[in-house]
Amino acid sequence: MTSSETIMPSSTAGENVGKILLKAEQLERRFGGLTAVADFSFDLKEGEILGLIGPNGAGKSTTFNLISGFMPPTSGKLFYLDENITGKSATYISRKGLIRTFQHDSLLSEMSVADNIIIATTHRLKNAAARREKMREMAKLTGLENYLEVTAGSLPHGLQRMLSIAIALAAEPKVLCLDEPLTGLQGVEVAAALDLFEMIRSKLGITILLVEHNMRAVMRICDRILVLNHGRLLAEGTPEEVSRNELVIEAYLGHKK
Amino acid sequence: MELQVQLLMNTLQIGSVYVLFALGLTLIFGVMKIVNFAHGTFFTAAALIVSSVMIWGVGTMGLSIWLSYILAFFLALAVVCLIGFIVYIFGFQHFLKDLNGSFILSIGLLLLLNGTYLILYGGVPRSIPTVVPGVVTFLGASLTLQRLLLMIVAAVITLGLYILVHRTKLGLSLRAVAEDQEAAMLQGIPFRRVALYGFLIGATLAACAGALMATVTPVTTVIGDDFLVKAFIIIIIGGLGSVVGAIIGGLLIALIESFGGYYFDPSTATLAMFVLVIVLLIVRPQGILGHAEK
Amino acid sequence: MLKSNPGLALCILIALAAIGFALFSGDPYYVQVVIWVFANAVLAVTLRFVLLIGELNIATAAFFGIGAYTTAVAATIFEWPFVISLLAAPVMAGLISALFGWVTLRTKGPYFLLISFAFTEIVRLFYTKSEFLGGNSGMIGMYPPMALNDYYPAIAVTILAAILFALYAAERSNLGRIFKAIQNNEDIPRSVGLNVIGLKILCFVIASTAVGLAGGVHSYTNSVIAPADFTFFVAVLALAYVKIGGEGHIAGPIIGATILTLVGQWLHSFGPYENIFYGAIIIGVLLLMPGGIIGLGDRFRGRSTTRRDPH
Repeated sequence: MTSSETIMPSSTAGENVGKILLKAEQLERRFGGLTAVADFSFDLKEGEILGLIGPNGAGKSTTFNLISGFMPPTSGKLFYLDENITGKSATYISRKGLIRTFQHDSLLSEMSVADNIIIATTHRLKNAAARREKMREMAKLTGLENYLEVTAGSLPHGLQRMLSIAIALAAEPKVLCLDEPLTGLQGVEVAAALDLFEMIRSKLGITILLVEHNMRAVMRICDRILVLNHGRLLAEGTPEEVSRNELVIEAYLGHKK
Repeated sequence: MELQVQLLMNTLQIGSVYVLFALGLTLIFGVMKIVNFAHGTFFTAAALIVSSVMIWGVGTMGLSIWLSYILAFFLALAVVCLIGFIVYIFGFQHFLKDLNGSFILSIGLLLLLNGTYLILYGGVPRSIPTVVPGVVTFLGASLTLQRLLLMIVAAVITLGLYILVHRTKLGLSLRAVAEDQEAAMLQGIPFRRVALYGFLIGATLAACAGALMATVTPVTTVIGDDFLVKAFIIIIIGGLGSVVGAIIGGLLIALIESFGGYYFDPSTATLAMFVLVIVLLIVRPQGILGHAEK
Repeated sequence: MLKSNPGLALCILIALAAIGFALFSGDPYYVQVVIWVFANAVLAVTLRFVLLIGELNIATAAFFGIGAYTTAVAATIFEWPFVISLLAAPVMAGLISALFGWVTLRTKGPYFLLISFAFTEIVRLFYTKSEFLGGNSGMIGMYPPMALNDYYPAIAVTILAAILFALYAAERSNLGRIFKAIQNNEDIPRSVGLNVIGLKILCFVIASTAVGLAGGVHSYTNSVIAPADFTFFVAVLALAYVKIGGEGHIAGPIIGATILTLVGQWLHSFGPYENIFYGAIIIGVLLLMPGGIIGLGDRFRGRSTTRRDPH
């Protein structure tokens, strides 16, 4: 950790934050000779919206794959709800309520919107009527109630993004990990999506880990932000702290004029 | 000792043909991410062409056996390349990276081509005259000169392919596409053209194997199909897409076939290969030499 | 339910007519053809059932054979009663397929496809080398009990038709929806708590159990079975049925099996041209009408069905 300067989160960051839900200890992931993530430790606290940012190739998607069980870490440990989940399968972890979305191929493109959402209810709800009810509820929440029989792949881009969130919500998460959910959205859509995230946190009580490129959105909505660079934690703190951090400006914001 | 040397010689001889056959299959898989079920038909076509050209050259034209064989060998390669080109252009290029689609297409091709061969050549096996007479003895084991030459030619072709893949620009493109097609395309490698070259090289390797095999065994219209199950086993053991893996896998399977076939019987040897594959898949799901994780 | 699904009602009527034909027709040849049509339909439908999760199952031929041999062993060596011998077939096929699926479906890559082909050839080799299974000449003497003899063709058709309807019901259920989701993009079901590998194995076991039962029925229908009846060519024909009928709906393979089984009756006399015919059908349909006959119907109604060439 020679090149990183960790800023301790100030005690006022996020008003309703509580106990630690997810804890990563010195996560590391190598691909052959390439190190995608190294020595990465962080906590996710109940009720917060935690941002994870960094330039392209910084290791954000790899981090998502590690914590959601889609890929085992080369070394390091993961704890979720005080349980060691290192090396557990994606199925196991998602059943515990840690649900992630995907940056690409984030839905079942050949199936209807309704089927997309119903699939996600399958594990929790065993009754067909209950599944449909849950599906309608989630579709309404994400503004998809008029598109239920449309094939997901033919939805407009913005609604596809909403659908991937509806799928995740239908699985009843405790922690929702959103992988670049705002990519390709227009101004109005971004604002609506941010309102939705805020609502997911406050009304549904779901904790959010957000990977996003849209800096303005991240700064607006996140309680705390982690900055990754070359697979390592570069800085950590409130939006103001991070945006004033010299290293961050140099490594990340600097490039973006 | 004498017996073991003899069995080892058999291993090398069967193995050299297995390696050529499996190399083509694994190369095509590596580059195009398809499994060509009709790979044996390239082998068969070459063997059939060699046998008929030899009969025509030696019998009708009165050419020397040597000259007829060399003529037949290169003609076989050329014709198989042409067949490969046609089936690629009209078929496989529409199914790049589509495992099921390409497999179904190649099953159709297998039926179509094997039926055509049967109509053109009939069902009677044909042997060609001996190209290189003579026998060598080595540590008490004897080997016809023809078989020895077959092994040497096969080894040279294998070495040539290794150099092509690891030392040339085309080889670099082939490996880049096999590793990550999208990244390769971003670096300006023309995926479709490289896939075509990979496919043709694979077909030519099968043709080499067929043209060589025709010198030591009677040729039938289904001669290539017998190799398919073993070739599948070889490329799974060696790791799909791996050149070195196909070489080692080919020799290993030949070893089991040669020794197992002698001490037990050929079917037991084949069953043993299958059990080996299953055990391997349980222990190491990516093949012996395949990438551990991808 | 039938009112809202006239197609299903029609299929039930056809099945009942076939059972009636098997009961009352005096011509054993035509009754035999009807049984073949239904058996081939089961082969094609089970092949397609595993295609729901995106896997091409050449081993459908092997599990048909495993079912047939299990029933034959139960009936002639163990001399178990008819019903038990028949039911041993799906049990055996199901157990072996569970093991096979566990080994091959855990691994990413084309292992399932490659090994399903190798497995089919190896199992056949195993029969030819096993003395107690009659070696190359196979097994003989599987007869239904005397009392049932006259009704056996109707029983066979009933069982085979029941398999088809059961697989249709499975596909229409939530389970079928999940199988399709796995084929479409398996990361999504995995990310919402579904055990994708377990579900893939389940899909494969359901199909193998079904085709195993059909194999048991085949054993009693033919009274004689031999290793040569269960080559990978059986799966190739099933594939031809699926391709020509169309993958988009369960009716596709049934239509394909019906047409090609009937055409195949006079095609046998053409020698090598028979293979060329099937090869040309597979290639032609694949390149020119990827949706098969069912797909043509959908195209008329203006739905887009073509899914060829992912680029």
